[in-house]
Amino acid sequence: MKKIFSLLIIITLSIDTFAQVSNYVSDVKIGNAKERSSIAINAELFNVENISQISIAYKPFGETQFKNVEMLIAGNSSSGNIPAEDVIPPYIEYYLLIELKDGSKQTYPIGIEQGVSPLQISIAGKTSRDKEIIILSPEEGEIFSENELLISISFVRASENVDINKTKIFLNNFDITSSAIFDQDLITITSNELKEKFSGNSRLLEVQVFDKDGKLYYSTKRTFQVVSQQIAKSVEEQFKYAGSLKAEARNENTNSNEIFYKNIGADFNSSYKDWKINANAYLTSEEKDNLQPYNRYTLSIQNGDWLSLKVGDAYPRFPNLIVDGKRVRGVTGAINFGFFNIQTTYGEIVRSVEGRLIEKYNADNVPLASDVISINQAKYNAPFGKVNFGIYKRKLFAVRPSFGSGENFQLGFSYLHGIDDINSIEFGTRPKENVVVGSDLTLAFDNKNILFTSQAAFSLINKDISTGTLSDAQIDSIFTSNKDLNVDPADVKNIRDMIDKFITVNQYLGPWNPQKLSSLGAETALNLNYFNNSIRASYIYRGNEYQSFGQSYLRTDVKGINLVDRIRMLDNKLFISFGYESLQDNLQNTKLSTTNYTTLSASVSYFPRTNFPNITIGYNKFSNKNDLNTKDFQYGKYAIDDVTNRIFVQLSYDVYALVKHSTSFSFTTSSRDDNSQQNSDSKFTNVSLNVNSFWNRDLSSVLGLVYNTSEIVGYPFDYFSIYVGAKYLMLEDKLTLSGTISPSFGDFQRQSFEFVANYLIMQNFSVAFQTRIYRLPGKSTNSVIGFSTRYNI
Amino acid sequence: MKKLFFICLSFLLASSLSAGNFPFGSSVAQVVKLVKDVSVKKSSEAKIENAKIGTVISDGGQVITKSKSLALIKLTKDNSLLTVRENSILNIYERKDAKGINTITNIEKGTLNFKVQKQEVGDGFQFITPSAVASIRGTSGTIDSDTSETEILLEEGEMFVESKNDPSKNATLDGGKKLTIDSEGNIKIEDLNEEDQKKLNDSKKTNTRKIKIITPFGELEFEYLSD
Repeated sequence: MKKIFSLLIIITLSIDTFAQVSNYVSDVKIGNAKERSSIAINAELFNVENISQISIAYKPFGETQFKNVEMLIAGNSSSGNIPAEDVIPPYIEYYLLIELKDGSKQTYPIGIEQGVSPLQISIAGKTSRDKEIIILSPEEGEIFSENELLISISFVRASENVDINKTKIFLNNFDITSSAIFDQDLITITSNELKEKFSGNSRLLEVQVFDKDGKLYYSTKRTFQVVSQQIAKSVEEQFKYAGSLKAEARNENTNSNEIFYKNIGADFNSSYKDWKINANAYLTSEEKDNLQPYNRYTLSIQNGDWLSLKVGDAYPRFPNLIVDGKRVRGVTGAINFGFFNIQTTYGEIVRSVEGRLIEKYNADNVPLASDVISINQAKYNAPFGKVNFGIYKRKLFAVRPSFGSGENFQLGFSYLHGIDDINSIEFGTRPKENVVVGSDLTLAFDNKNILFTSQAAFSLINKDISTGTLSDAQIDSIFTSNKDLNVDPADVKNIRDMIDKFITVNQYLGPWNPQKLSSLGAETALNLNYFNNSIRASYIYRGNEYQSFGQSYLRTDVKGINLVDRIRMLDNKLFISFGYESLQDNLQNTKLSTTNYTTLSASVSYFPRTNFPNITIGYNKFSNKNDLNTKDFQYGKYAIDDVTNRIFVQLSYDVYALVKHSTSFSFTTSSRDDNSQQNSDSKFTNVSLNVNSFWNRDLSSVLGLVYNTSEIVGYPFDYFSIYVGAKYLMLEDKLTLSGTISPSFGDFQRQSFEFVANYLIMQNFSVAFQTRIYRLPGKSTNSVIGFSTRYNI
Repeated sequence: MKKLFFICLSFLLASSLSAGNFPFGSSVAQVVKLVKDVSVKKSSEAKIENAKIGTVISDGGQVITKSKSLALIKLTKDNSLLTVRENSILNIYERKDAKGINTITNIEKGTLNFKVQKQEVGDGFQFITPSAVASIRGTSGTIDSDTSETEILLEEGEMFVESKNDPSKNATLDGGKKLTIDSEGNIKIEDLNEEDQKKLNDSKKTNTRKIKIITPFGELEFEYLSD
């Protein structure tokens, strides 16, 4: 029974999530997910020509809002990292947000806004067994020369239940235990003992330790590199450098529309003593003047923790109400002395895109329309024109001085100014300006077991600065002629002069109701970490007019509380988590009714690290309700009353049947009951099974099955996908061939085929050929054929 | 009371070391990297032999480095790293009991850079030089010792140091400070100056240089520790 159960279960090292129907994402790969270690997410893309940007939206368990990290699009794939500080057990929810060139957005998986569940990544915690089995060598990320390799595992502190002789050691998923020397409580493999040869530089070490009954007691993984003696020596020298040049040519045929892409990427990393200098550039034929930038350039200089300077594209992180994850092309830097620190960024966050004159009009035939504006008569021989509006160049400056290192105390003050450049384009509308001032405080006690964080920010926005600041004459005409206002024009001028130093003052400056805290953003949180409980209580407030040009994804017009408790049990092998959140909108009474958003979350995660699968079971209940009656004749159509219940189960397990098979299984089901007039009920269920098999050092395979059934507003959509693939190394590891076939049946029909060949011409120079064909029966057959080269220095 | 405890402890240690009667046990440390001329005695009863990457050292083992040589040693109990600089002799002992594991490193001469992990409850870590006994719970720094004087540069953490000959002469050293103690037990503590900091940083370096000599009979390659 146990074997049957085991066979039903899944993978760990790299969780492949595929065949979630998408027009843009074909495959998502996720790196190892361990507490407080960043998680790499890589997405394979379709129809890249239609994509303007992709970001990862992620949310740790119990958090109020998804955070965003922009992904780097390179060729037909994109990559990004969830930062280590947000990787907290029991799991992280995430989805990909795909912004298209026509301005629309799509998510992966599709339909997050309609109630489709985000994807989950289970996060394993650290246990006392991490202290029992000690990897003396290699260190994580260590670089060895070919003849100095040392793999060494110490069992000095291992439990008496451990049977050292049963230990298995895998390198790049291939069993190398036969090369190991077992010496009492130490297992060692050196270059001399290692019989097997491996291609490439990257190595993944996996150690599996068993107890005396043969049950898996503990397993751990570590990555390192093996390089030539020459490279290893350069790494050891004070001046180190490494870099690579990549070039790609790719032809995409989509619905008989052929596009040819050319990309060049270069990166150079060097260090001397404590100094690090890195340079990256990515140039693509997708770069167009009428689009936001696709090219990326960065030059960065860093000295330890105290100095960093980036020129080019950077993604600075200030307190999240101010700047978070926004790309700034300019200068970004920080100086940290501990007792005093300062960080700043200045540059362009939106590139100007010129508008287009469509039609000209004389004064006697000009229609009244929002896209008809006055134009330069001398230049266009007409006073008015119908235009497609362009986009103004937007510049941003932010600075944050702070006091204290943050270990126990830090007090910071932030200032942000963003402005559209009126002269950057000819045909534009409503250029804007934004000022945000804020403060943040961190207090930590008892080795951060008590952590209090708080931030508040106040924003001003001018929604049209095209007319500039009010003149004295304009103020006089308004306030002198209108005695009913009972305002002294001199007072208005004084206030204008004071505010005008920071932001343009005219009738478009807001908020108009600052006394109602409409442009205030604030949040405060208390974290307590005692008795294996991690408790977090927080309060947020964001007025309906709070806006920062440095933050694109902040939810506004919301306030409420959030409570989370994560309980660690059985030496971090069992996590039980609870979350409760109660939010409401309509803070400034700008809506017909106030909506209450209530979320209940609970999950149980078990990471046994023995002969039993890792299991995560989660439950969420989302309730949204406002105080309007659905039967009300006048306002009933605005009533909100829906409840969504979601359950998910994830299992992962390594099965040994002749060879290692990494397996994973996931099941998610959600049901939305909408009692409003829209009655947009929905149901969604997804089941997936994935098996990665490592047959020998040269051959590995993957088999995946996905069943998806959904019904949104009465429309059913069911499909089943199979994914079969293999990878083979040949010609003394110089040639790598891989291929996959993936047909989908049911309401979604597609057959895709992918083949990749990678040939290592020299140790530091490789070429790759890639072809991908996907056929939509009765519609079209599309293809991507690409050729790329890579040279390492 | 505390002083009496340390006097007794030091006496026990000194007498044990001089008698060389630590019991032979399991692996205590392992050579993870070496440069040029390093030899080891794998245990108190073993013969001296050339060290190799992966050589295992048991209780009572010894590491000897010659000019322009060094050895990186890791303790099997907790991954603590010891860098034995050139012209040094280091003896390693370990005592295991129900409470934990005590590691004692005896620096006969030379320089040792250390990065010792925070010790578990019941565990201990001590350095012994000709003039001092130092106890730590988890810290990093450098010890430079000869027969007459010991100099300790402490990068971080805390260290309790006492005279080997007169335990009543002792001091607690904090990170960022330097301590010198002579055979008489005279202790001097100062802030680390620029020169000390450089010495500390240099003691961590493991850069090497290679010379290749091509002869009619083949190639000769020498690897040595760079300045």
